[in-house]
Amino acid sequence: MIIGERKPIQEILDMIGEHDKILIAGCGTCVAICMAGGDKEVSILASAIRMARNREGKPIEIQEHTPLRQCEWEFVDELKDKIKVSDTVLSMACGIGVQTLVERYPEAVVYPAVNTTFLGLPEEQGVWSERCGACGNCVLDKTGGICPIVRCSKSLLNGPCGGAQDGKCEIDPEVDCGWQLIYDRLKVLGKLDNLTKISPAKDWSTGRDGGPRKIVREDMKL
Amino acid sequence: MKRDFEPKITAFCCEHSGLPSADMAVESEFVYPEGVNIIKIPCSGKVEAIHIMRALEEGDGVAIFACHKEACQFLRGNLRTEAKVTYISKILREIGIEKERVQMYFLAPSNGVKFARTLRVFYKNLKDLGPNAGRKEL
Repeated sequence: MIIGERKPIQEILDMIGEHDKILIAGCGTCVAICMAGGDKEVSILASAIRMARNREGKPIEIQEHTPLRQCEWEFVDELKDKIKVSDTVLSMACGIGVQTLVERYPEAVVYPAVNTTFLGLPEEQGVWSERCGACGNCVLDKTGGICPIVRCSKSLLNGPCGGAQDGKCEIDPEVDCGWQLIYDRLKVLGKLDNLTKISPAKDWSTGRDGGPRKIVREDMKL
Repeated sequence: MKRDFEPKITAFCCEHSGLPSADMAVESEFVYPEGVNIIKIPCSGKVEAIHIMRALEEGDGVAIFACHKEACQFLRGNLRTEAKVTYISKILREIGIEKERVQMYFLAPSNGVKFARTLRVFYKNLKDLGPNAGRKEL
């Protein structure tokens, strides 16, 4: 899922500026699960903003609404009436949600209240870590299901660099060496010979280097 | 102004510690500030961050009375809420509200003396701090 983190409140207050009627729109999917922008976080942010503005002697009126998803037209349509009566919309969704609102409501001023951080999973309650770089050309079949793009700090594709020590990455002794994880996993699977196969230079045009990406499925179009 | 100011306090009381202590304080006539809004909760762990924030929006201070550490009926409820209080403290610092307005206290189920004394001290500290600047206009 998409992992995010609320921006510092002062940064959010600076975005709101002098506006005194805002809508905080959460998202009930990824950012709700990673506790950055679900309905609970919307309420906490609303409360913090109200108190900050009361402290400045500039009370603010805040509406709250959290659709199940903020990245699909059908779900953001339910925000219509609230957006109409708001000066500003603070989106607590990922960057996709923010842009969905901007495209659906071009007349609205929409600001992000969450930093979209990475694609990952909850390792345990309260701990999230990156698992996928969305490179558009998955190699997990060759690496025992462990992604070298995000688990290796240098995104190496043909084994580790020389900096790892005791299975830990040279960037931080708390970070596992991605290639050590891959080696251990392939050993368990009895597929260590995968490591002898050379991966050619990766075609990064399917990733961020290829410009904005788009998928069109003619069979699914209406 | 501070002399006339009467802090409005919300006290979340775990029914296994804070609440029996509050009852004992009343029965034993241990004096604590009038007008404290006591809210019964099944475990201090049930207090969510938003409950604390909303209570603070409506008042001047929030106290959470929980079981002693390692004595939580639900094992870790008190520790989880202690972490929530730390989280709220960071938010309050970000918005310029004194973090001392939110306090967590650990006590035994029959400690009416400590309950009353703690609230008296908390009340005095809030009185010294003055009204909560983030509170809603009445």
